[in-house]
Amino acid sequence: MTDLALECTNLYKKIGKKEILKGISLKVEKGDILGFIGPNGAGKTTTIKLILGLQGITHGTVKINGYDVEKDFTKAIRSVGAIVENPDLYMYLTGYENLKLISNLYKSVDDDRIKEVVKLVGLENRINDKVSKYSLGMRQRLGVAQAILHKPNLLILDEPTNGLDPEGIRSIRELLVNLAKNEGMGVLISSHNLSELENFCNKICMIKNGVIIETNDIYRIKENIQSSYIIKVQNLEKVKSIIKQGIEIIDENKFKINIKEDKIPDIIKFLVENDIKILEVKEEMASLEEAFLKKTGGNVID
Amino acid sequence: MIKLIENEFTKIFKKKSIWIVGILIILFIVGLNVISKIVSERSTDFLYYSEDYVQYLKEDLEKLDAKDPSDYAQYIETKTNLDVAQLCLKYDEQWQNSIIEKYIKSTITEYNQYYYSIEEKSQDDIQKEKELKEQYDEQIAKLDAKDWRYFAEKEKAEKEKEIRNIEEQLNNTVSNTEKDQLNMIIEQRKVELQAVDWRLDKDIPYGNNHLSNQIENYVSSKIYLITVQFDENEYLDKQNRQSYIEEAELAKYDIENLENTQKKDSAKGILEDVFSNYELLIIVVIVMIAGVMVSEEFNKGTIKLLLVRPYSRNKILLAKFVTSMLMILVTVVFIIGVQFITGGIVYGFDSYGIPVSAYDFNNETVVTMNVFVYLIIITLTKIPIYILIATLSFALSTLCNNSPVAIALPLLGYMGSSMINMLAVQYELNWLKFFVTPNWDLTQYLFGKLPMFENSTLLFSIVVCLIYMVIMLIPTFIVFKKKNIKNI
Repeated sequence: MTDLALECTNLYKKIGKKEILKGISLKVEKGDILGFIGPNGAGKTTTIKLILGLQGITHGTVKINGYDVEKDFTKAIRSVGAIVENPDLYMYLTGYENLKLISNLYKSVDDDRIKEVVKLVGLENRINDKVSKYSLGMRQRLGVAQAILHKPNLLILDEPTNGLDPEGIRSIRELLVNLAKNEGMGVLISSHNLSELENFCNKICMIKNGVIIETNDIYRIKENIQSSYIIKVQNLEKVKSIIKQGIEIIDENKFKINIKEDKIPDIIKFLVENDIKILEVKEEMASLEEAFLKKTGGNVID
Repeated sequence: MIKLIENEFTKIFKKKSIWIVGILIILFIVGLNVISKIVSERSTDFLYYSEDYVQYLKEDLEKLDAKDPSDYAQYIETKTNLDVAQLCLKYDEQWQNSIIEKYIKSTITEYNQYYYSIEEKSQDDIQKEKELKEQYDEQIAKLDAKDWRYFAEKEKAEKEKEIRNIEEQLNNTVSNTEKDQLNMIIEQRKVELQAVDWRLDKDIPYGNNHLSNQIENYVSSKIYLITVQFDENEYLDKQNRQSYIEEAELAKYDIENLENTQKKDSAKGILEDVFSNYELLIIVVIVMIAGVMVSEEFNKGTIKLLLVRPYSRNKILLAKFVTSMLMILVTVVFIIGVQFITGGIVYGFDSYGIPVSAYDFNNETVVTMNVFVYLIIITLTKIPIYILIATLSFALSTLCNNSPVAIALPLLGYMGSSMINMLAVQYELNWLKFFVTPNWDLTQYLFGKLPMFENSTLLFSIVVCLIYMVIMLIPTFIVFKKKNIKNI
């Protein structure tokens, strides 16, 4: 068997006359966490629905663990766990009853496994409450629980961080990293927010208007990015007179400069040599986000 | 597959709405039982006269003068009516009223004629007046003693005499039409004589009791059969005739065997008619269940979680369909069960021992069976209606994704079905016999009855129902299989 948990080749999806996906190809290897990034309306959810067989494929193939999702649906889907869009669970049932319903459909899942998963997502105190009483974050956790219940080797999560607090995001991240590393699970995780994903993905795939614009390891992407640094100085006027280009004035004593990390000592040295007093040098955190926006910017929802 | 069905049941029974519906059904059934018990216990006797009428007659009488020959006849009539009305008001049972009308009224008329005579009364007249007064007193005494046998014997004698008279008349007529006429009257009198004989033999008093009512049913059905000309070539006439024969024969069975099989105001009587009493209730419940089966999952988005399981879409839909069908059974059994218990508590459980009677037209005999055997037979013959309506609802729910449509349309269809059937029968629209509604009620084939359409058979109806099922299900499965799960 191949090490590929998921392989999409040249996917096209047409709804009416509109082409939503125009040749999407992507791969998820076992142990990978692939961040599937794109702005709203780029085709992320549609791609995921095609992978899960929820919508018909106009052209192209989806293989999960080597099984074609259209021809061998039950075999392909057996080892997939997924959340699509919102974690739509039965609101009038308790969390436990929801999981019980799902566990009924897999021979391998017993009550102990349910308890284990509940603990894993940290819902053990509220699992016997009705889902209608859950907050969005708790529903998101229950959604993750139902997705990993049957120990799938491909996990597909559509915007799982929606509604989660930073603590929730952190625990999901730990969970996913753990699953990918220890159980060799392949994970496809979509989001429109790159900065959320950068910490737990090892690969990033960017989509815009139904086309993949970049697929790469996350460190490579980071590498290529010119970071921004904000430098606080005492005499900004002097800086303006010596550096004429490439800086952006933020207020009376701060300016922004786009350079690679290894050039930082040089610039500091240069400023000191020119008798400028440096009060603070700070990396601007949104740098990855900005790079992403630059790449995907101008996504037109049509 | 079984797991899928199990899950569907869990989803249905965890819903609050299903329990609310269940409680409403129980309340409805309890209410219906209690109300019908109250209604049946209240005297259903219809009294002939009112106080107002008596007042009116009194005023009328004051304007008349018994001594005036031109007023005499009018005076006697009004006075008699007044006497009868006043007498009737003293007795509050209908049978006593009708006996006063039938037998005592003539005595009063005669007595009044002598009493208010304008001419000089002769000795004979006075004697006659006295005799009539005695006769009147005797009748009243019998009436007070509720001695119904006295009057039954009187009725019997009267009918026998009448028959003898007509038979004599028959011997003297030559015209065939007149003979037919007379024969028909003899037959009617014989039916009435039979009824009186039953009363005397079986000890069935006049009045509002089950067997007496059956005697009246028997007489009216039989007389209808004798007097109305049925056209043997008209299918409607044949069906009509059958229903009167059935009524007469079933009444006869109860009378001759002193049974209560036709008694409706008992726990068994209501249970026996559970499908006609609660059919709409059953339909509403099954449509409510089948109509949301698929559409609700789509509307709430939960379908996505169901479709990413290792089951083909056909299996998932089939599980839902099977669940809808099983829920019909659950609903029917639940309603029968609730009626069984409620009826037992309100009316007493002992009536469940009374058998159900039906007239078997094939062997021309009355057959009886235990009420539960009967219920099984009726359930089996009624269930195509529920299956087809639930299937329609299920199909609409899948095809339109719209629960209100999937609930409303089948309900309207069910309500309209009786109208369609009526049109089909009244206007002899024979092509409608291929439509589903005249075929889905298989009770029409029970006990050799004439079905809605001449020459249609049980097998024909079953095949028609199956064809409609398939027509509804095939597109449902195809559409469900191909369906794109849209973004919400």
